[in-house]
Amino acid sequence: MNTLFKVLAVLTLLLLGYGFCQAMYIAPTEATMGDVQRIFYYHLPSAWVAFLLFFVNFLASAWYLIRRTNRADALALASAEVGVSFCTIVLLTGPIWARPIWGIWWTWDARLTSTLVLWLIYVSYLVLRHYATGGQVPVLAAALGIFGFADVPIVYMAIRWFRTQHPQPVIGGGEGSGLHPAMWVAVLWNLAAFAMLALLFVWIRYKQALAEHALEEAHAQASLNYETEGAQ
Amino acid sequence: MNGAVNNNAYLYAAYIVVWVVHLFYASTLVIRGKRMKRETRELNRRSNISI
Repeated sequence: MNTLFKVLAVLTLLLLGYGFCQAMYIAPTEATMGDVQRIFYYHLPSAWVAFLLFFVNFLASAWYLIRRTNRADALALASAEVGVSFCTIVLLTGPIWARPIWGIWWTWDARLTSTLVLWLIYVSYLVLRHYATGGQVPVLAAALGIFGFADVPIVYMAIRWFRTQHPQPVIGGGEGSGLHPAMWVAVLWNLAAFAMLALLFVWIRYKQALAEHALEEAHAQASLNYETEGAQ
Repeated sequence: MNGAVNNNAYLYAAYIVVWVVHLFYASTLVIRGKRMKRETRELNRRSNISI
């Protein structure tokens, strides 16, 4: 592990710690929901980081289809895997927040349903990558990554296009929407912290995916050598 | 923290869930890394191919 990674890891820990303090102690308490609203400071940044990672997957998938490089394939896999992890957090923290506020864990409104579909698309992507065999798997996965990304704008716009149980957007939501400036500070610190954490995860997984490619090629070479020696 | 409504159990549950998911994912990365190192060593030992 190089020095840059270690520096980023320490910086990430500091950001996560300060983000936690901002979310739990510094941000003002919301008037109607009380302290449970502080779930928002992990829920929203996790969603934005997941969207960003799926966008990276989209770009890397397109890059792979054009250039067919191991680097593009590795980046697509790494970003999808970490994106699913963050999207899982969104899908778990949402219902935990909804239960005391709405009185229900889940409702099939447009925002929640499209987010669940998004998660299922990228879980399918990972299942395909893990269990399918053959040389065309990265191509199929890249196609799924490109078309799967179409759900991200649908998730984002769902609360603008449809009447939903989910709260209105905090950015560009029109009159009456938005956040208290002190709440924005907590959101942005946690967004920075989670973005850094995602970067570290993607970095490690990207290196591992490249090493997996190298291992597969080495295994193939070893088998070839074994067969050649056997024939002589 | 002096909330209008006291639902702190849900708040703590959500924060715990976040860290359980992150730690779980981090542990899968560590396990995969160790497995790959073992496979690389094994391959090098068997075939003298350096990767």
